[in-house]
Amino acid sequence: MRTHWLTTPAAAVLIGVAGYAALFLAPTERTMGLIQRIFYFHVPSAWTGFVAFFIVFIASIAYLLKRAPKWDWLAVSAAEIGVAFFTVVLTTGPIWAKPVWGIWWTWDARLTSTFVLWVLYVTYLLLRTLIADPERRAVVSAVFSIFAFLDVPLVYMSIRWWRTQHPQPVIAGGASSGLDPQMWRVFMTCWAALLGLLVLLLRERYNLEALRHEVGEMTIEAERRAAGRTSTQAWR
Amino acid sequence: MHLLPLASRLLPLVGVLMLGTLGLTTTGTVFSAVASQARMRELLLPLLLLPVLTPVLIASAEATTGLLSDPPMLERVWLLFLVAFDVVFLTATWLFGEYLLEE
Repeated sequence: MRTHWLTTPAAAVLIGVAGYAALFLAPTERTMGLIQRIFYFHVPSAWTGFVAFFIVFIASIAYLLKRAPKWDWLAVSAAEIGVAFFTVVLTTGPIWAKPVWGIWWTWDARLTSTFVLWVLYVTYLLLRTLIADPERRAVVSAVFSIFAFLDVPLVYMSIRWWRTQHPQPVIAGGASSGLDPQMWRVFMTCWAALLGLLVLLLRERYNLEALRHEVGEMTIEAERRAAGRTSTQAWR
Repeated sequence: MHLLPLASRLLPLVGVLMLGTLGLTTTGTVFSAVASQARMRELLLPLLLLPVLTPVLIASAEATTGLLSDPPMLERVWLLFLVAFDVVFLTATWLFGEYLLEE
């Protein structure tokens, strides 16, 4: 097992820098005050989570076309990490919403669709635990994840037309919206840190999945040999 | 309480029903095939289906509400949305559905 003596500390430092920048370097927002700083981890977590789910989507299509187990390993690794990032989003969101909106949660477009997205990938992981055969599991969960990914924009649009309360996107949201340049730099630092974390986690999780696969094959081989030996002894 | 005159809205209502039903059956069929290969499949199917069905349920309910209110109105956006949902999932089923049936 390779140890990532360089990348792991690098990611840790980057996360530390991002946290420092979000807490001390970014200017305090005028109306919301300090609580707005949670935005530097809330929004980049969501974007990183989307990147992770996009990797699941691509890896699932690649698996169906190529049938190489590595694509399935990549898909499950990215799905788990994406769920982790969206858990961060769904935790930091209410912490921000309580002082700013006065409520923890509301069923508006983004909140509901983010929640549905999270549920979709939790069921993806659940589905995987309920299919024993590795090959069937890979095929079936790949098809499910493709459908889940296609569903996400539809969920978002349907609820958006239905009702909405979430602040409109500040970044690229229109002429009057926009981020202070310093806020923008801090924001991108945080996103870079989380993307670095995504790459690191993905690699570790992928290696773990590969090892599990190896152990599974060795177990089967060992059982086969043990069965062969007992039958030989019986024959003697 | 008065009865709504149905005649004028029957045709669009049938249209909404058909589009909504198509969406339900497409995803329902595919996800049944997914769930049937897993343990606890009876429990798993509704769990898999509910989040995916959210958009089609909202769109159908909103379109039907509009048609049954007085005066009736059909917001084109919901009708187009149902068409989009059906097209997306029928295409996805056509492309990826057969992987579920191989042995």
